[in-house]
Amino acid sequence: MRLREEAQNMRLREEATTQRDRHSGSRRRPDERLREEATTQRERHSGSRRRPDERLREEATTQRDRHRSSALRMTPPARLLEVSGISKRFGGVQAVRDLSFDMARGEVLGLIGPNGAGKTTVFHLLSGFLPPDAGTIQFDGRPIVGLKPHAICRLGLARTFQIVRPFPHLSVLDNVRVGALARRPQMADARAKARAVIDQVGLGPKAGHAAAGLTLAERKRLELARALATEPILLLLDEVMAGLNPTEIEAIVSLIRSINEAGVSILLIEHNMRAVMTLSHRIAVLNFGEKLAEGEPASVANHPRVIEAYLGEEYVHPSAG
Amino acid sequence: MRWVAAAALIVLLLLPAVLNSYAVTVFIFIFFYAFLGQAWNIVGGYAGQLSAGHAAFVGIGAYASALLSVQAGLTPWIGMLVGGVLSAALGTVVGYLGFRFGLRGFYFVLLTVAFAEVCRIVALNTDAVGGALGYYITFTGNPRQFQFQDNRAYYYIALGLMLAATAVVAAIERRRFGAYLIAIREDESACEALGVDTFRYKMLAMVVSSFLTGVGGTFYAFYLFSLQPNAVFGIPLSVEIVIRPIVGGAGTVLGPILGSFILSPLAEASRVYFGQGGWSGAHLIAYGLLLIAVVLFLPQGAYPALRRLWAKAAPLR
Repeated sequence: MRLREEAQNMRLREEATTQRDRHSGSRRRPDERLREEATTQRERHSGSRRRPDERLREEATTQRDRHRSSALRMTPPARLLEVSGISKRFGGVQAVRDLSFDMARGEVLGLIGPNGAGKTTVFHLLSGFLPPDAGTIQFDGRPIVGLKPHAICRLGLARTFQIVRPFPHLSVLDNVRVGALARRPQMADARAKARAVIDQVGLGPKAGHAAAGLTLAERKRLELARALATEPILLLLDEVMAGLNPTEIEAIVSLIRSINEAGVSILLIEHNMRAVMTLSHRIAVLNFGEKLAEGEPASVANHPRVIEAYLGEEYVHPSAG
Repeated sequence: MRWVAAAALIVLLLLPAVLNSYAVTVFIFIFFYAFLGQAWNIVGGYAGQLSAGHAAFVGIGAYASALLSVQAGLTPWIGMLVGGVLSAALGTVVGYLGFRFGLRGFYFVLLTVAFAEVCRIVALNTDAVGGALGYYITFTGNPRQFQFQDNRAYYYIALGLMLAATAVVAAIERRRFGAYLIAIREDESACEALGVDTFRYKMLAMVVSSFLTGVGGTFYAFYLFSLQPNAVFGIPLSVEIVIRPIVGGAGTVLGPILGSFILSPLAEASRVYFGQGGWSGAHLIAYGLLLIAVVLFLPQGAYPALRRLWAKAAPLR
């Protein structure tokens, strides 16, 4: 039984890899490619609507990448995130057990599993809030185990919290400005960036409101905006859709998609299956701290052990049937 | 608001010409405690790390500059910087112990109180600095030794100190440092996740705060000319330092000043009133009642409440 599962896992991963290679030109799924074309058309028609400093930074970033790949690497650039054999125990509970997975740049990886599976613990381990008992984590080619959360954020890995933590007495703008200050030490510059991010997530009208007075959906956007303002390469989203109604969920799904299309990789913990399946390029399934399955959404959704542990027999993936 | 502040400043500059010596003394205390409160405001108001032991820094600055002046002939104008640095050193130790080991809330309060008490007991039992009898500075009236015949000189120095500390706080509030401190006060973990090195910024706040407080200690020493361990390291002084920003508005630029203008006259008035009936020290009862009232009705302090009133009155203006 176990051998068959392992073979199945390997086959899933192989399939995922081959599929990815086939689409290596544009790594996106068909509907996304269409939207990408639409976006480029839009840009072409409106000139380049991005602000000069964003363009400059993009150039700087590309330069940096070029330098890094030529100067430091004999081997091809490492995966964005390589998690290898991490474990975490709390007293008698093994929250995460020998977990390994990786992420490619530009990808959306969905992390799903029942409550208590260890997903948020994985986020704590990745973002430096908890040290793993064992294992290594390489982010953007650098080992990050042992680094403090603020250092990891500065490297480009930002996270949100499952139970949102706004700065209650500060305005929405001041909240997001704290995030923006990570990359832009000048207050005016950070304020401008915060404004831009607030508009991007759709909180523009509420910029002057105190965070304590926002609705839950707005607080989730604020949490997202704050993390986004730190200009991350990889964004960890912890159940951003929990507690939202279907309209709000749709809005946040398209927001997340647009963030990813702008170049931010996303690791997404979510219970809303439709959202996860739509957004993710790949999905990893956790149960009792272990990885059950990993692969493209369709294969994971039809994986018998995933169905047994989490999805249930009633769930039918849109691609099936 | 700005023209109000400018007008007030001009008034304060001209006041000594019309005030009697007693009134000048009251103002000296207003300014001096506002200065100390403003220094505390950096770490207690903005960063939200409540220190109830800031008297330790006053005492260290006071004893350091006094000893250097009397024993080594070092002018207090330089001695105040030495005192400030020594206080900052203690502040670094306290801050490190507190922040490195994650002492938050009232555990940090207890830590600061403990340090102030240790200083007090050490001073009480060290004969070299006068022990329980205290340390005395002979009055020479020599400005080079930070001593002045005229009360009004102290008035302007205290006013200058208050304005300098206020300028420091205003500068901090305008910059990223201030924004980070405020955010740390709101939610430290969220800050860490946003790239804020909370340990570093709390330490920085503590160092700046304790340095300024230590400088104030020199003023204390060369205004009162006698240092008593119980007075200069004691909890009552720490309370005086803390209560002004809290009543006036912790974490605001004008809060400590407003608080001092409310509390010092109140203390003087009740000291005179109760003192006549033999109830000296009863001003503390007045303090307590005022503090209760503030916590119940104006938890953010007087200045934010005034600001809200001013904003509400806007349509009427």
